[in-house]
Formats: sequence, structure tokens, C-alpha cells
Amino acid sequence: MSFLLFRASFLSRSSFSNRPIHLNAKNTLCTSTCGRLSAAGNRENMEIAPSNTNKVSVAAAAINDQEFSPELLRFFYNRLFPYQPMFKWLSYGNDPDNDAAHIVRDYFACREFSFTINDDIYIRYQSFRDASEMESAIQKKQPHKIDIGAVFTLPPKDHHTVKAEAFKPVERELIFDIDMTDYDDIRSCCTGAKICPKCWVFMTMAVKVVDTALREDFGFRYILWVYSGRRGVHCWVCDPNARALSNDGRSAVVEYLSLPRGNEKSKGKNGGLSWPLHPSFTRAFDILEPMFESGVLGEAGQGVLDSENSWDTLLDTLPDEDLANRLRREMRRLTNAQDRWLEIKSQVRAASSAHASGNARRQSRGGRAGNGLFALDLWKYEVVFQYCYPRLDVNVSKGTNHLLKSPFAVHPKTGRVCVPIDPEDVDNFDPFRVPTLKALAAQIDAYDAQNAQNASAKALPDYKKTELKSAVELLERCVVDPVALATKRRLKLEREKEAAMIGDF
Amino acid sequence: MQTTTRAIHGEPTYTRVKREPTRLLSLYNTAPQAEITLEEFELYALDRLQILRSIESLRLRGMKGDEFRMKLEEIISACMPMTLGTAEEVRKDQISHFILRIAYCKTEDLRRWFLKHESELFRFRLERLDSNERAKFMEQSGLAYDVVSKEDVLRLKAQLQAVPIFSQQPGYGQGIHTVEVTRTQFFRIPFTQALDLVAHRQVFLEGGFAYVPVERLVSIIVARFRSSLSRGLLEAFGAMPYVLTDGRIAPLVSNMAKQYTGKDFSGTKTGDSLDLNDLDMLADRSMPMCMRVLHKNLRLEHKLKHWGRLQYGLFLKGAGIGMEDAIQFWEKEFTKIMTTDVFNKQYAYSIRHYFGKEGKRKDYTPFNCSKIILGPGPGHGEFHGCPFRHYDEANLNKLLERAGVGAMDRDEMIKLSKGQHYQLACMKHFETTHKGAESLISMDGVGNHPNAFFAASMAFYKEKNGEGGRRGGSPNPSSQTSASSAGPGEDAGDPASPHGESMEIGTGEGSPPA
Repeated sequence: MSFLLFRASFLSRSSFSNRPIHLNAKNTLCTSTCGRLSAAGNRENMEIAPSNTNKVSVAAAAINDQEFSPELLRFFYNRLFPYQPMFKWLSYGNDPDNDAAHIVRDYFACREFSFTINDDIYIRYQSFRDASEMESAIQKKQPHKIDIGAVFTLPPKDHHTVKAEAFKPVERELIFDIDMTDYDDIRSCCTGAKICPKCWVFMTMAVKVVDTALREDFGFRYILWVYSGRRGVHCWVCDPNARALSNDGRSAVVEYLSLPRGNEKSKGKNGGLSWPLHPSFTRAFDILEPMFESGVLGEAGQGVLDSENSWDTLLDTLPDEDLANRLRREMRRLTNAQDRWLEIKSQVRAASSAHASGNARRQSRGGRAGNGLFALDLWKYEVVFQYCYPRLDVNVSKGTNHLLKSPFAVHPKTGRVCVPIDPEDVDNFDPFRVPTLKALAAQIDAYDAQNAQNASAKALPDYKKTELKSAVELLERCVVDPVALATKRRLKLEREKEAAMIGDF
Repeated sequence: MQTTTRAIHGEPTYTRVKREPTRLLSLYNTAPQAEITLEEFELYALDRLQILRSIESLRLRGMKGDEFRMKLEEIISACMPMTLGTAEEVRKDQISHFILRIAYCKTEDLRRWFLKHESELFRFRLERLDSNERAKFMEQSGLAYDVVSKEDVLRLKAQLQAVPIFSQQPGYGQGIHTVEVTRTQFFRIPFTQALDLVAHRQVFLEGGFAYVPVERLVSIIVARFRSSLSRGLLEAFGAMPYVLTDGRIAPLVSNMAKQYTGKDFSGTKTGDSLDLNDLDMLADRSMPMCMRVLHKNLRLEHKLKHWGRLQYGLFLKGAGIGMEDAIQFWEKEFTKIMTTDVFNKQYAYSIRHYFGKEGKRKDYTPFNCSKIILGPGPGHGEFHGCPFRHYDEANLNKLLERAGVGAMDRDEMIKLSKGQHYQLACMKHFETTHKGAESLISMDGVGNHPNAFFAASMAFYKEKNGEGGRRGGSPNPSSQTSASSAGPGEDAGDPASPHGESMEIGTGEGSPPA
């Protein structure tokens, strides 16, 4: 009963002018428009809109309390998923309806998508000509998950028609996946899928370090960071040269961005840092240490220097046992984690300069962590990195074929929308305030209620009535607009060159 | 042109005069036009193959630096000398390279093998040039790079100074040093052409460019060589149908890639199939250390991460477990910590995949030792790899002790492992746990392929328990093809090996000279 109320009530709010016109979607929109058709028939009811406000809110509350349900999903795909902006992004300006010479007409059609239907059934090799075909398919199939793959040599849905060798990936964004479960060995607040503000700081740290490295070291500019919906973040690097990277190239980038690591059994061999530290490490340390101090060391974090047990474990890793014992006594004397860290650092620094005889150090210009000469210097880096350094899932990045969850997809377990994250403002990103489907539904209703008399306001695309507006704007700012601008400039340059050549004749 | 002078003690010394550096090595951009006999065709190719395979074998033994270069120089002088760049030398080099291109372009594995070892050969030759010769070669091959201006070097001095340079490949290296920035010439190279340096963080990056000191230029050039050869191989692959129309060379070429390929344990195994219930016993008794570790950790944690699943799963496949049994085995173990549903959704597919029943239907071959040793090492929570390679001394000792290996044998194995003779250590392990094996069975392939180890062990116990009267020892050409590494690579049968007979190569009939 409440289900019916829900559908009827919100459907009666929508009008045809809200939605862009779909020429080819008659039958596929049927399920969602049939309600609207009846709404059209119920024109008189639209006039009653204001008084329906109560109905919607009541109805919204009357839905079962789940954050995610087929009805919510249908509503999301019908009114909120930003098809056009996503199309503009993933086509990189190659609009098949545009006649210009520089357009690669089937670029978007060759992009692979995959759907997970009903939590169970996984279908690959989905492809669409343009935004409206994509919309129809999504609305028809109601996927619980949408993944984005590579751009291939031909439309993936036709891949059966050719030999295996003829169907190959041509380009694909450089992607990264950072998942909180990879931090389980240093999280004391949560494990597994659970996250909390204390451990979310690890994601913030990872975003900052990786984003800086991608921009400064690799010169990438079109970078999109996205909340993965539950417990991590994804990164899409969309520069043309990033998309064209070979598997080896991706492999190299991700290894550059990862800490040299072994496991407990190979530690003695050749895992770990060495001296001198590569500039990217010193830069990462400068970024991470303040956050380590405020977000990891103390009670507000993982409590690394908060209790005797934990600082004991930490001091155990010092390569100098006497120093460790001296520090243990100091730890008890001091009262907060930050002070303890400062004390440790200053004593380590003193010990390291007193330690190795000046000559030995001056003669050797480098060494591994295990090598006594630099062990103490490297120690603080090792500690901070062990906790804070980004832990990338290398397998995600290495293959051109890897399918990754689409931005603006909904996470079926949380009902949260996978919104982009602004790397400049990542400190303020709160995964617990990411909009859920229910919240978005309420936002639309509220907006429509407020603008009941303003026809043009109500005619806005629905996502612009909600928090998703800024999310989509972030997508456009990070990727869509810069690409469009760059294309424009490139074309202008080419035209000028051409004109110059012809002029010479 | 060479001049001979006799020094005081009457020994001839050669003055290195007028060798053409640009002829000593080649990017092989154009195929040679020549007429050769069929005999030359085969001989040239085999000689070059010998070199490539020696490179692989030397690397597997952990050879590096000067030792590696000396040994390789010997082999090259014997098979295909390239000292002065004479027309004859160049001809053989070019022709043999292109013949092998044809032979090694057919599959991804072959191509990868060929790329890897040709690149090593190229690197070896490049490193023999002095910097002037190298500059000349670069110029002639169109490999010019931007030199970083003095101003930029000063601007970036601190960062450039901080970039470590490992004297050899990381993992083998001992010395670490940095360059004297103000006295070094730097080149500004797009990072995509310096991937090796980037991956090991051996170079400073800014805005997508790698600032490479001149001494690292070799890596860059080798990378260029590799990528252009990769393209060439794909082109060769496209041209194969045409090549194969010549009835004379077609059989030669198709056999070349198979020439030194031993048993790769792919395909259905005939004979005894494996009983799942015996796996625990077999892990202790017959499996090589690497698989034993994986099995034990699987039993302990009821799961394995990706590489572990792949390495162990493929091993079981090669040992005779069918797909249905395999799925049952993994399911039984995994469902101790997850539901059948989750298992089916997340893991069953990949099992079917590597049996070749899904996706591109490729039947994956079990990893040989070469692949396991040189492949990605285990990270936190992972147990794949080769314990002799990836474990440090203390942990290896513990592992062997727990496996019941005596102290003296343990010491020997650890010594071998420290000397980077990982496969020899594994063979030693086989010997100590299968006393008297040499006289009962053929130990072909033990130490080269985990499945060979396992097969040999099974055969040993079968013999011991009194079935069959097959006498073993030296490889019997008719009994089996030598069980060696899968795919294209294989041990070159180093005559210095103490285990000469078990490292025999060849298909058994008319085996080529070691």
C-alpha cells in the first residue's frame, strides 16, 4: 500500500517538461512513464501539488526503512542519474551527433560497460551509441552495479562477431582503487567493511599523496577522485596520454606510487626504504606527518602513542635498543601522544648524529634501512609510512581491461551515491554525509515544494535540485570542461597552422 | 681491421681500432635481404637460440654484474661472435634475429620470452660501448633526447641529488650511490620511455618527464629497443601465414620454438589422477616447498589471495586434478569462512577460467620455477613465490626445520639459497627427502618445474612400493620428453652443473649439444 502511495505521489509531481525528450525510448521508458502518462491524465491533480507535499513526505517516511530498494533504484535511474554529464565525460567530446571532422564518431559506442542485475547476474560487453541509449538500457535493466571498462576496437556488444584478436582495448583511463580493508592491520577502530571518522583519515592521506604525485611527477591534469560508496576511494586519470598507457606503463606508475614491500617473511631481504630517500618520499612525508600526528597517534586516531602497550610496540621497532629503553621511560612522563612523538623524534635525531662515526657516513652516500648507518634516519619515515602511506590495489591499475565501478552508481549495501571528491578539499569530505537515495528523494520533493509556483525552476533536471548538483559540477570541473577546452585549443591551433600553410601558397 | 702488436713478453695484444659501434648492435628495424642455405638457416637460428637460452639460465642461477657478463661473453664468442662488427658477423646476427622472430611470434608467452632475452642481449652489447660510441649509436638510430639545461639542473639540484641509484638491478644490488649532480649530464625523457626506472623509483620525475643521468641512459635505450621489437613481433605474427607457405622453412620454424620446450604439464594428464583426500599427505611427502607452503596456509586460513590461488591451482591442475574436483576442493576449504554463494560468485569463475572454460578459453599452463622465481613476490598475507627466493634466512630455516629437514642439509640449502641458486636448493630438498631416488626414477625437471618435482616424487614412491620394474637414471629418449620449464624458455644445460643428467635438454631424439 505504501509502495503505491509512493509511486503515485512522486510521479504526479513530475511533468514532461522536466525530462529531456527521448526519441527512441518509447517502449523502454514505458515502465517509468506509464505512471507519468496517467499523471498527464490526472492534470487536475497537478494543481493540487502543494497539498501533496504532505503526502510525499509521509509517503517517503512510510517506505520501508531500507536505504536501498528496487523502488529507490528505479527512482534514481529515472530522475537522478546524470546521463548527459557522464556521456560528456566518457566520450571526451566525441559526440556521434556532431558532424565535425575531428570527431571519432563511434568512440563512445566502443566503450564497455558491465551491469550487475539483481545482485547476482553479471553481464559484460554492454555498449551504447550515446547518452539516451545508455539511459534506456539502464532504466530497462535496473542494474544494481554499473562498471566502466575500456574503449575497444569495436562496440563490445558486437565482440562475438569477430575473431578474438580483432577485439582489443584501445584506450582506458588510468585507475586506482584504495580500499580500507587493506589498512586492517593498522586499524584498531574498525575492521572489514566498517569505517568510522577515525580511520577515514587514511583515505584522506592517500588521496593527498597520490593526487600530488600524479600531478607533479607525472604531469597528469584531468583527475577524478570518487567515493566508492562504502569504504574507499577510486581515482580516474583521464589525460589522453594516461588513457593510452600500455599495461607496462600502468604497472610502472602504480609501482612508483607504492611502497617497496615484502611480507613478514622477506623483511630481512630487500623490502623497505633505503637512503637517500627519493624526493617523492620526502614530499609524501611532509604531507603525511602532520596528519599522522593529529589523526593517528592519539586517542582521536589509532592511539599509537596513547597507551603503554602501543608505544611499546612502536619503540620495539627502533634499531637502537638502549634508545628504545630510554624513551620508554620518557613516554610515561609525558601526557599526550603528540608530545611523545616530538620527544621520540628529537632523541632519535640526536642519537643518529652521535651514533655512526662521521667518517663512515660521509664516505657512504647511501644504504638500506637494515644497514646500521642510516637505520635511525629512516626510522621515522618507516613509521609514518607504515601507517599512512597509500595502499593501492595494484591489480586494479595494471590491466587495461579492469572494470571499475562507475561514478554516480549507487552502492547496494549503503544506498549511497558514489560521488566525486574534490582533492583540494579532501579534508572536508565526510563519507557519512554522502547523499543516500532516500535523502535525494526528499531533496527533490523539498525543492519542488519550495518552487511550486516557479515553473522554470521546477523544470530543472532533477539532479540539479539536490546535492548531486555540486557533485556533477565537480565531475564537469575535473574532467569534462578541461577536456573540452583543450580540444578547442587544439583545433584552433590546427586551424591556424593550416591557414598559415595555405596562406604560404 | 685489427692490428697486432707484440708486447715485451711476446704475447699478442690487440689494439681496439676502428670497430664500428653502430654495427655491433642493432635495433633490427629492417629485415636483411639475403640468400642463405637451409643449413645456415637452421644453424644460425640455433646458435642465437643458444645464446638467448644461456642468458635465461645464467639469470636463473642468480648471476649478475661482471660474472654474468664474462660468462655470457664466453658463450657468445662460441656461438655467434660480435667483436668488430664485420660484415659476416652482422649478417649472421641480423639473419638469426629475424628467423627467431618468426619462430617466436606465435603466442604471447613466446613473444614475451623472446622480448625479455633479446632485450638482455641488447643491453649487454650496449653496455660494452663507451659513452662516445653510445652517443654515436643513439644518433644513428634516431634516439635523440633533450639535454637538461644547466639552469634546470641547478633548480632541481636537491631533488636530483636525492635519487638513489642501485648499482645493479634492485634485488641483486649491493651498492647504492647518488650522482654528483653538478657534474652530470641529464636527459629529459618522457616517462613512458623510462618505465623501468620509474617503476623502481630510480629517477626523478617532473611534469611527466624523467630526468635521467647519462649513466642510466642504457635503461632507456633498452626500453626503446624492447618496445620496437614488440611491435616487430606483432607484425611478424601478422605475416606468419605468408611465411608458412614456404614448405621448406615452415617445419623448421614451427619446431624451433618447441625445440627446447620440455613437458609443460598442460593438457589432460594421462595415468594416475589425484585423489583430493590425499592432498594433505602429499603436501608433506611429495610437493615442492612452494606448494607445500601454499597448501598449509590454505588449510590454516581457509583462503588464499590471487597469486597464491593461481600458483597452487595451476599446480594442482598439472598434477592431475580435474576441474570439477578442483572446484570441489577449493569450495570445501573456502566455505569454512564464507558461504557457498559467495564462493561461487567470487572464486568459482576464476577456477573455470584458468581451466580454459571461460573468457578467452585459454588453457593456462602451470607455472615453472623460472616464472615463480622471477615473478611478483608475496606481499602481506600472501604465500606464493619460491620460499628459497622470497624468504629470508631465518624464516627459511624455520620452514625447513618444520618440514623435518636435518640441520646439515638445511645449512646447505640455505647456503645455496643465499648464493641465489634457488632451484639447486629445491633440488637438494628433493634429494634429501627422497633418498636413493637417482637409481629408481628419472629426476628430469626437478628444480625446473614444481609439477616435475611432484611427478618425480610420485614415481619414486610408486617404485619404492614395488610397482613396475622401470630402471631409471639417464634420461631415456623413448620414455619421456625432458620435463623442463613450460613454454619457450628452458635451461641450457650448463655443463658446469653438478646435476648434469637431470638438467638434460632436448626432445630426446638427437639432442643438440649442450
